Amino acid sequence: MEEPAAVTSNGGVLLVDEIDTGLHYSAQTSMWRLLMETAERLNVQIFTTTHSWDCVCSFQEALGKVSNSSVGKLFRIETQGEYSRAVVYEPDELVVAVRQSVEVR
Amino acid sequence: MSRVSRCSPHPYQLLVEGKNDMHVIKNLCKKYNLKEDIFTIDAPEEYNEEGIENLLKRLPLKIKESGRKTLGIVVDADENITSRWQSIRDLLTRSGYSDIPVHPPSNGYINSKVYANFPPPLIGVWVMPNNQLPGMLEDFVTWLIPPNDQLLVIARKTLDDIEDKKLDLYSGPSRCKALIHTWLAWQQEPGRPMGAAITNKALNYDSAEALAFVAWLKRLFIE
Repeated sequence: MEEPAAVTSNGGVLLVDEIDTGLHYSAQTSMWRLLMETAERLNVQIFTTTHSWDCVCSFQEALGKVSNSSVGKLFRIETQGEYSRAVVYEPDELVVAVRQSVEVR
Repeated sequence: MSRVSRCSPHPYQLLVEGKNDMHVIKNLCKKYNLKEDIFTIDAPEEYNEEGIENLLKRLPLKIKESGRKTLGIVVDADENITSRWQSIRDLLTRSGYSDIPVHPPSNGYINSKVYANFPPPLIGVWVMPNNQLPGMLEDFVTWLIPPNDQLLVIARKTLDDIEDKKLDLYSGPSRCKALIHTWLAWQQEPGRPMGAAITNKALNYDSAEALAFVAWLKRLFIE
């Protein structure tokens, strides 16, 4: 995998839209691990979006493999009329969601 | 890798511990003309995901699910209804619900508090068999057998006999499972599961508990 953009964002914020686009699902866990470890090492906060269940599963799998699972969270944006809010899913909730196939998108 | 349904979750859903609960409730709904599209029943697909512990883990996620309007929960009281209710109450409180009674109402619980912005889904809880007694789905199903049924008397006596002879391999709380499955084994179509026995009219008694359960479903999902 090429050097991620995160390495040039030291101490800052990296935004990635539709992060799984073009990536085979089997490569996604490695991608997440690399991003999580790099983010922690370089103190970068990464915001990414996805609509893909495969991507959610690989995110959860990667959280289980890195040393500090609290490094990542999932937010679902819920809209009601003109208001929106973020619904938070902690890593332990994602374990249940993936194992028991509960929708988080 | 686990899979989710290709379509969005139904806004009105009933959360149950396992497939037996799902089939019994589905067939009760048919019997009492509750249409299938009013709500769906969420039961674990895998046997090792069944049971109360998994349901309690799934519950907060089902409350947060996108588009959720109403969530009904059916759990077994098992041996201690007070502690079972308390664990549900704690989880609901943590998910933002309030005004939940200390004991489950006998006709089933429905949270009626009105919330302002982003109201959480309407929540209902039924504790098998009747929100009052310890027990489980199988106790409830036994109440669908007419009280004067001859085979039920013999099935009870048979269990008494094997317990006297210490031949029973089941634990005390599982006695009602042994009873209902013994009784089902002696019907016109032996060995049909509980849900199917409701459809084929072996289990056909309109007990007060069955009517109360159906009334709770209607209050939660229709009214």
